[in-house]
Amino acid sequence: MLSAIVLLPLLALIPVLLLPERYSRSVVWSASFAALLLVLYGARDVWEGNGKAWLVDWTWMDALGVRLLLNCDGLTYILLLLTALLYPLLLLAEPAGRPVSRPRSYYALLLLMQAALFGVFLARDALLFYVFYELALIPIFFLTAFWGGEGSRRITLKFFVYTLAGSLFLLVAILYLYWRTPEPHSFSFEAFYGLDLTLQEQIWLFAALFFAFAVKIPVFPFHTWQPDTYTVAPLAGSMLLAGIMLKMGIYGLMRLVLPVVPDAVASWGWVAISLCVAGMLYGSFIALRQQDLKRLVAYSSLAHVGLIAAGVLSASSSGMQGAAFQMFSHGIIVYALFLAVDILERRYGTRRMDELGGVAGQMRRFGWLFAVVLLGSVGLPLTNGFIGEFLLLNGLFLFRAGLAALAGMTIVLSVAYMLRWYRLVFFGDVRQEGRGDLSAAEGLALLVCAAVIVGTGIYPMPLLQLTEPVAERLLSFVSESTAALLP
Amino acid sequence: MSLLLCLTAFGVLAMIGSGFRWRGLIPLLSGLGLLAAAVLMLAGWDVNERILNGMLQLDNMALAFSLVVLLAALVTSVLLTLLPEAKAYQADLQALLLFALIGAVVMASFTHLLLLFLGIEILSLASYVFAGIRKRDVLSHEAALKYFLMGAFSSALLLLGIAFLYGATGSFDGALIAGQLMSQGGNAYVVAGIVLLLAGMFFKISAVPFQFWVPDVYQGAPTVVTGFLATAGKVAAFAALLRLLQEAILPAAPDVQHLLSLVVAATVLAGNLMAVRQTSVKRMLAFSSIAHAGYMLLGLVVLNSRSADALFFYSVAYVLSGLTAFAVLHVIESSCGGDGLEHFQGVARTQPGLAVAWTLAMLSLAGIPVTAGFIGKFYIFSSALAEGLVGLVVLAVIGSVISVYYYLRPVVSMFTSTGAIKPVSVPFSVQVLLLALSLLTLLFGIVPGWLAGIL
Repeated sequence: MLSAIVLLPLLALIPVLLLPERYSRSVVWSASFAALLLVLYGARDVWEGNGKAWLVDWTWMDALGVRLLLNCDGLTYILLLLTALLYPLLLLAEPAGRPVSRPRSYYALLLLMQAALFGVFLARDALLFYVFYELALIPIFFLTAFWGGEGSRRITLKFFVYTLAGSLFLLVAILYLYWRTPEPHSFSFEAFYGLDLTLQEQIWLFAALFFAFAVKIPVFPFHTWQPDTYTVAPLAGSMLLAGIMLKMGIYGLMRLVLPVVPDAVASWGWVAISLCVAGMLYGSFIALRQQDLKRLVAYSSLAHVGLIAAGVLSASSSGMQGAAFQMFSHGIIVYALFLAVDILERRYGTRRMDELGGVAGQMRRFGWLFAVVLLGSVGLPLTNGFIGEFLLLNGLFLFRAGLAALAGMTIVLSVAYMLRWYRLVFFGDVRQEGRGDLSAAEGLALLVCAAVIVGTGIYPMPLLQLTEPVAERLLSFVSESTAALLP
Repeated sequence: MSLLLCLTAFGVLAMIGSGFRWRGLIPLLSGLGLLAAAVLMLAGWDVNERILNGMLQLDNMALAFSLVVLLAALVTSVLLTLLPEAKAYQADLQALLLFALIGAVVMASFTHLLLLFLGIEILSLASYVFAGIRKRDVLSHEAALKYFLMGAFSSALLLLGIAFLYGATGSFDGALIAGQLMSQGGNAYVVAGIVLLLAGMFFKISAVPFQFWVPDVYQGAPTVVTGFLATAGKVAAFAALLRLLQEAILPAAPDVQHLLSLVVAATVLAGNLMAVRQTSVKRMLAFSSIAHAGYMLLGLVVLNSRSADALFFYSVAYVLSGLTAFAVLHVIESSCGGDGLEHFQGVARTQPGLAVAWTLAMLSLAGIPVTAGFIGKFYIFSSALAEGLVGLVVLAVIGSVISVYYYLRPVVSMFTSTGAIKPVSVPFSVQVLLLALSLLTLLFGIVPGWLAGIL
């Protein structure tokens, strides 16, 4: 079952590469739908905690103790669902009548990306996790470099080198942990969880792991690749980067940092959290001044993911739960925001706020649907953004009230810049003549997003219950260790 | 013994064949010789044959590394037939290739230090000639002369080191020397001997501070030859160094690891930093081969049960992608008339297969999953971390990050098409070679179990 989820996109590569180029898109369509169905089909097993049915455990490199170990729990499932859901939406959002150039390579890279993303979330062997983690970088590099906008090659090269620098420290940390496991050495997460590391070791490992994941998320001040890359990337690239890929970093924090180096998180976590909060303020203030909508989304995303990372590192159950939930919400919301920017650009040929205006009058349906997305983004009650941010802020508050107050301020700022967007672009003076409302595909994609935003905002329980046992389990390592630290 | 005889026989046959009417078949003959040698090597697996009064030991380690060199020789043999300037001396070159392989086998299997010297000389002499085969090209001459002078100098150091060790211990046999040193302790002659011996070896593997000949020689020599020097030459030298450290030096003088650590750090940094600045892709590959020598040496700083295995896997990965890279470079050079980044522009448009092979090779050299290069690097780092060399591994990791930048630049160029694009033609034999090498790179990256742990 699990191997099928990873293999499905890889198998779909064969027809993409063999059939004529005009079929590439349909193949990817069917494959991504099949993947979504497969993930939905597995929901009940995960729900009932029937993890055994999902376990894959094959030998891979005997000489090195590396195993093909895949498993699915609630946390993994929520991210699988996000990936599987965003893929069909991603294809739906592509502008009709303007096919991508070199479709064969483009769709092949998308499939490779999906396999790597599924793999990252499913892996339970640290080396396997690392392999998928880096593998995901290759398709996104090519997608962004060769289908991106002006200057994309230089910017993407920076992105690649920067994030690879992060992941190589991840590799060193994983190898170090491997040699600390008892004979026979093992890369499995479970073996890492049980390790008895000294505080000194933990602090170094925490530094390496936090750097690795902070680059990916990105956390201030390791974010310098992010705004440019998000901006030049093609639509699918930005969506994948912001919607799913950065969750790899947060997922890594939850799965590898908290349970493996709990003492270091307890003693040095405040530094990391302060960085996250600083990044939130930084991102929000810059977003406030942006004219380019895509850059605005990029900076606002910086602020939002900073909160998620801070919530995880607060090591509270509310922070963990909120992070898991908000990863899903943020994925959907940021997808919708990028789509909205692209829809505007398709019609009016610009993403600058000062060149747009009065869109609500010309595109009524778009105006309404976008309003829902916007409310989700600023975290208004009854949207999923509210649930996630409330839990995260609550977790942060339990950690340090002052930091939570600063973080709360960024929510006010987010209201300011999002409403500025709405006011200038959707109301304001009409600056260009109308070019027609949403097409059916665009409307459907936004409608699905709006439905998820409101649906999970009103009734979040299923998702929260799904992640609760995992969050508790991962946190149990932290509380054990802090209990041991007390005199 | 039959292995060396077989190679010699085919080599001599190829050499004298130039005077006969069937000289067109000589490349075929040398290919046949290489295949026969491969069969003999595989047949000798687990036999552990000792020949020439035990001065050579054809154990699994020796055979494994010899096979890697043989692979490089096989690829080079095919590529040599495509060189227009080599038409007239095809027979000599093919013969030299077989002789070079003999040198490599001797280097990988020596137990007697003089045989080490002999092996190095056999391989080196062939290499000096190879570097100069473009007879009308000044750069090729420069490469050959520089290589020869520097090589002779380093061989002298090596020989002097052997002489010192002989003087101190009264033996040429690696294991006996180690035993002698352990029982009697060291003195100034021993230290001088070991340092000189290692200096000679550092020259052959192109480690800092003996790397200065590499850029000019690699750039001046014809690309096909550079590919052979960078892969076969380096792997053979590492096989010899592994044996030397394992049997003679490290058991007796564990302090050598401090010297090795220093060399690793300097080599990794110098190779990577210099490679960043290059605009000629060939020169970039030359500097990057220095960096790779640093990574490989990292696996030898402290030897454990995995060291040989890790070095072997790394060598295989490095040879596969190195050969691919130089073969692609050769094709582009001969079609576009240069090896600058600008000559790579738009190659993907006319030859997507070539671009994919090049991309895969670069990713493998940079150590990105799912290529063999990743597993190789992982293996080396893992084995070094097991010995607690955290600082060196972090340094090597920083080096790898730098390397990604210069490896990806030509890849990006290839897929960029601005301006006029020159059509690139890829000979059929090269297509087959590239396909095979790329598939192997992927195969060992995905199922490394087939190769890891055989030593």
